[in-house]
Amino acid sequence: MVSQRVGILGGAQTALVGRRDDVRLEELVFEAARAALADAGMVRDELDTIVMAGADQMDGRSISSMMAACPAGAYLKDEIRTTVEGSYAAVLACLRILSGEFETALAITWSKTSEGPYDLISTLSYDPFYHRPLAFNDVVEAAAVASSYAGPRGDLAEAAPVVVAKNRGNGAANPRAFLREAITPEAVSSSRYVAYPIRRAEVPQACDGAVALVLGSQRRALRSARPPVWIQGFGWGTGDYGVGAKVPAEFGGLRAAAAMAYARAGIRDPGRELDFAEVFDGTPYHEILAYEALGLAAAGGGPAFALDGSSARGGACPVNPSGGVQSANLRFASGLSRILEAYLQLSHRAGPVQLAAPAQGLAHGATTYPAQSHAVFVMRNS
Amino acid sequence: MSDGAPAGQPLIHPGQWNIHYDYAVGDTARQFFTDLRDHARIMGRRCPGCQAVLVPPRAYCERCFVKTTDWVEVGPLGTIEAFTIVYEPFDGLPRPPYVVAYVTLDGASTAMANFVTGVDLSVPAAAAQRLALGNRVEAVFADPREGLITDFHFRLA
Ligand SMILES: [Zn+2]
Repeated sequence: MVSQRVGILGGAQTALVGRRDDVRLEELVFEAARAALADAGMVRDELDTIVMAGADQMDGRSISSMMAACPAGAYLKDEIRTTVEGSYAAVLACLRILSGEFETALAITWSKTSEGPYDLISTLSYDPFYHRPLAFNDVVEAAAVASSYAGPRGDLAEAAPVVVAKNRGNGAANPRAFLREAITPEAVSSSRYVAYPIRRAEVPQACDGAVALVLGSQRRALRSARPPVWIQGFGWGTGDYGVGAKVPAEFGGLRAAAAMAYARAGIRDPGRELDFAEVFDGTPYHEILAYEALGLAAAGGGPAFALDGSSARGGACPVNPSGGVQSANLRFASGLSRILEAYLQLSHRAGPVQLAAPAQGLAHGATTYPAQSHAVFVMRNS
Repeated sequence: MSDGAPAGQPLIHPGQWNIHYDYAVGDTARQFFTDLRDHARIMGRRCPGCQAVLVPPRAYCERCFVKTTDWVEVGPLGTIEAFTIVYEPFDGLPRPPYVVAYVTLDGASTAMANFVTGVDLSVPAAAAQRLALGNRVEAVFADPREGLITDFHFRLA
């Protein structure tokens, strides 16, 4: 398994906007799938399997993949859907290729949550007996988690606005981002609390869009139209349900995912060996905890890693040079967007946000705000 | 973006789901809610493997992957592990401001969420200090009780 790598042959993301009224959900899916195939210089006939990630309650349709499968390219082909965050489409696609049964796969995810009451929908995902009656939703739960991290990290509240400003500054230069206005740390820390300690400016406005990647076996990737980017290792992990299982949760799922990905990729010192990382930053607290869980910073050292500029563009390990979820909040789909941004960096096609000469990077996806499940990809361009 | 589409306002068709569920509480939680309602006490379940006292009770320990066995009374005092003060309104949630905290009740190994009352929330930093991790709270029981999680809440001890 270790000797076999999966290659990324191409990818695309639809232009991100607050609300897409000119296309319905399946037309949005078609748009991304077509664009990704075109980017890879391929046609639908060359795809062996289609792997989708989506969630019915967010799509407002039950078994929404019935409608999305064929626009994603699956007509009379093998297809499968996972109802986990977008990055899991890539996990499952890689596994299917490594099984030896498939040479190529399209991994696709979408987010069109402008059509429904997202906060209310997120309340539905909480336990109906112990949690739902207690006024939880994604933001409320994320705020409780953030407070539990703050205990042993006195500088966390100071670092959070710095992370938002860093990512929004990066996103301002990225033509693929949705929020393209920079914001100062002072403006972040003077915005109102939504749910203490999380402030309004730390929860990015969501957007509609779809993302697709074309993946291939090592053999197939070696004759691809574009130079492939290699997935050296990947991993995934699921932690306890809710912080109540044991507080603080400390991103156990992400630690497990990273350990698996690093073992497969042969990474021993991630802070030195990774040239950049694209991580889930639905709130700045998620990004800061990811520094620690990914081993970029020592335990308790997450806030300092932001405050000393290590995660900034030009720092020791730039994190979210694309602008991250703070600049492109594709709910439940942003992980595949992180992989796409890392792919573009390693292909030297990231445009105005291109880093000088990255050789190896990391992409991370997490299941929205409570962040129970995580996927990690280590990618190289040689 | 739409090729050859007519100019004008987008066309929006409304949709609505009104779906009622009857969730089975299960025998383990039924005992918990019955104790809560009839005796104003909070009960946890002990894992025979790791000895953890799970509150709210679970019929199994997901780490040891065995059935839990004995009932153990916990609280009513406990320690704040995590909290948030909700200041902005959300669809379907109570009118802000309000506090939700995860509290490890004395004798329990896991934290349990509930509302915290009796804290002046007008100044966030001051309120947060009173709710700081490690601070002590006490479960306060409603009267009458309905066998729901809202039969109790926390207040600062
Ligand atoms: Zn156990």
